[in-house]
This record gives sequence, structure tokens and C-alpha cells, in this order.
Amino acid sequence: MEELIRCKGVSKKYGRTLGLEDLSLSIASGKIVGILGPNGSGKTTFIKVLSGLLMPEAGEVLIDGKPIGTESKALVSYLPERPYFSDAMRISEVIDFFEEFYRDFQREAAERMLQTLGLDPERKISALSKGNREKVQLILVMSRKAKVYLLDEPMGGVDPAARDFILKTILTNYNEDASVLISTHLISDVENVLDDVIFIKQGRLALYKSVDEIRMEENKSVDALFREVFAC
Amino acid sequence: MLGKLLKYDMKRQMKLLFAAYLVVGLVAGFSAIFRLVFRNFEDTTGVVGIVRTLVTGLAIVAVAVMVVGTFIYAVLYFRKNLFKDEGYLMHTLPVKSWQLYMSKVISSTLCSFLSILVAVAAICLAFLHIPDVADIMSGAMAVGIPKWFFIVTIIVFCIAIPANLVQFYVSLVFGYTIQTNTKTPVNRDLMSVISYIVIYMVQQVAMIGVMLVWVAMNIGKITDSKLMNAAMAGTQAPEELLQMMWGLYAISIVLMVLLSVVLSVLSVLRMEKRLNLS
Repeated sequence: MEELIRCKGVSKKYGRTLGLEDLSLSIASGKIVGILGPNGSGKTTFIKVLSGLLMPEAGEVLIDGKPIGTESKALVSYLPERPYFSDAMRISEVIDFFEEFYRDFQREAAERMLQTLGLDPERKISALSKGNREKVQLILVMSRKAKVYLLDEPMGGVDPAARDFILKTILTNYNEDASVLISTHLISDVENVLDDVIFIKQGRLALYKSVDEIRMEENKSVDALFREVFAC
Repeated sequence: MLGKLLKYDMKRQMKLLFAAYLVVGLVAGFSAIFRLVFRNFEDTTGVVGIVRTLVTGLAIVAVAVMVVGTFIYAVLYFRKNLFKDEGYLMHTLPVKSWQLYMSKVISSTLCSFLSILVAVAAICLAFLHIPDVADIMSGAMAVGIPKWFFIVTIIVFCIAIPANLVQFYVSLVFGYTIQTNTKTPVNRDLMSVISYIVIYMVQQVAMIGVMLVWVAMNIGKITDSKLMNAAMAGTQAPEELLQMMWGLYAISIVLMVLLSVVLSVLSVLRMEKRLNLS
């Protein structure tokens, strides 16, 4: 498996508050990796640094050997933890937008998934419920044949049925040579699909292991280990 | 990619502007119809005159709101599209920062020009009068104002629109990428306003300074010039006045272009190196 993501000594501060501190790790292709940690631990900061939305003060980040920039962004499919499509647009316009800007976008896949959901492409984004908005975003992000998928809290604030849909969409659509990074604190929902987990504590790397290793060596589930590591 | 971004930005901005153009067209059209219907009406009470003034006034207000609104919308669109939630989409596109930035400058400038054209057309319609530009120009030329004066005025006006947009854009870029050492989050809009005030003042000081130097070098001491003497005596000094105007226009054009380029480069560099969407 080739190395897809490499971070070396990455640090990011928000004023005096620490976002990330001296984070070094590498992630191989073909893995589904859980970025886990309590609120404010640095999960979103890490994902934003990888997607190019935040510039670290120190360190080096490479995606498939390329520094963060236009080339790396073409390889990364990013789902933020908030709605990021304009309310004024229709679903079909967002599909056109993705098709125009991303060479790896598969229109048929997006339309097929939207059809499964029973969503009319001519509906405006503003007319969608919160759950459907999140689903539309996820569908578009997962309709790309990207090398890296960065999913920030993809199941945050949705009901269990929607969570199942989201997980199914991720698992059935991601490019198998790609890496999928899922940032979440809903560990029990994603535990079964993860290959590796990264624990981030106060901006630092607290643990990076495969799920199998955790189960074999610690004799615990990821959820149980998480509660132990981040006990208040 | 710049072409694709331009297409997207134009489409987004024109959606709202078309609605505004429609409203302005309707108001101006109503004013025109009113004028046509009551053109030969003898009104002894003056009611028709008052209503006509009100209707025409409404058309003028609608036009003014549309033109000013276009500019305000361009600034708000830049903020919303690059530094609010939509920024998460735009800044993760495989495009360069200068393309994101220039797309906004070009599209908003084009929208502003279009709004001005619509405004002129709406005023002509509201007053049922198309001014004869050739007539105005020949009248002005008869009193000594040369043709180039009109051409340069239009050029200055055309450059002033993107130059002003750039000034607002750079303020937003600085306001939204500023990093402080305080624990409490900074109000980025407030930072943008402060940035604007600072940039505006620096720009004004630079422009006035260069203009004063030019005047001193070419016309001599203002208090001792023929121009000032003529002004004090209440007589005209068109040649010297035109020479000064030409020089000031040239300086304005050069400075506006130069400052816009510098501010744009700073904005793009800032977006590339200090982007901080949080």
C-alpha cells in the first residue's frame, strides 16, 4: 500500500489556543481511518489543514507526495461539518458545478443516489431539510473518484436511519485505492467499518493503531478504549 | 478554470440583479406611461404634477438603490462566497487563489457596468427623454472643453469601479485572515472595517501627496499661480485649468491601477498563505 498522506511536525494555533501540536503521521491508501477525539481536540483542525482551509504555522503536509495546493485539492474530496452549498442553488446546479470543477466526478453515480433518495434535482437547496442537505452533500462528495476522502462529522446531528444511509453511501461509493478519513465522536456507529483509528488529544497524536490491534492487544472495543483514554 | 469561475460568479450575481432590473424597469415604465397619458392634460389643481413628481422620484430612488445595491451586493457576495460557509466549497476547489479572487473582481465589475447601463436606460425611460450626447459634447467644446476630457472622464470612471471593489475586497481578506493572540475570537467583520479605514486613509494620503507634488512641479505654487489668481478674480483660465485636470486625471489613472494591482497581489498572497476558515 502506498503512502497517501504524510504530516511532519504540523502545528496550528488559534491565538493562544492550541489547534495541533507537532503532529506527525502517515496514512496509507485503501484504508478507512477514524479521526477520533472529544470536542475541541483538533480533529476538525487536522481535516481542515489537509483540505487546505487552514494553513499550519509549522510542519509539512503532503497528499500523494504533493504539498497542499491546487494539485492536492484535485485529489481530495472534502465534506465539511456544515452546509456549504448556496441556498440559492438547485441540486442540479450543484451537480453541474461539481462536474465542471472536478474531473473525477461521476454524474451518473450522483444522479443514481439522488434517485434512491427520491430527491428531485430541480429542488432548491434552501427547500431541503437539514438531513437531506447533509445527504446531498455526502452524495456529491462520494460521487468523486478521489484519492482521499475527508469526512468531517458526516453523521453529526442526524437520526439513526440517516446515519445508516450515510455509512452505506460511504462504504458503497468510495474508491478502494483511496483513503477515507472520518472525523467523528459517534464511535459505536463507525467502529465496524474502520481499519485504523487516530486519537487526537489536545492537538497531539495520542494513538494511531489498527482496529484489529486494539481488539487483540487491548482486548477492548475502540469505543471502550476511547472512553478510557479520554476519561474526564 | 478562471472562465468556469467567472461563469459561476456571474450566474450567481445576475440572479438577484435581474430581479432588481425588473423592478427598476417596471417603476421607470410606470413613470413613462404616466407622462405619456397626462402629456396634454390641463391640470388646474396641480395634483397631476405632484403625482408625476412622486412617480418620477420613485423611479430615481429605485435606480439609485439598484446602482448602490449592486456595489454592496458585490462586496457581500465576496464575503459570503469566500469567507463564510460557501468558502469551504470555493477554497477546496482545484483552482488557484488568484483565480478565485480575479473571478470576483471581473464578475462584479461587469455587473456594476451593467447596472449603470440599466440605470441610464431607466432614467431615460422614466423621463421619456434621450439626451443627445453629441449635442452636449459640442456645447461643452464650444466653451473650451476638449473631446479628450470626456473620454478620460469615462476611463477614470471605468477604472474607479474595480479599484473601489478591490479596496473592499482587500479589507475583507485582511479582516478574515487576521490572527491575534487573544483567547477570545475576533470579530472578523469589525477587523475588515478597520482594515478598510486604514487602507482608505493610506490610499488617500498617497494620492493627495502625489497630486500635490505634481501640481507644485508643474503649476508652481498654488497660491501664486495664474489659475488661483484667475479664480480669485472670478475670471476663467481654461487652458491652465485643463492642463491641470489632464495631469490630475493621468495621475489618478496611474495611481488607481497601481494601487489596485498592489492590493490585489496582497489579497491573493494573504489568501494563499494565511487562509484561516474557522
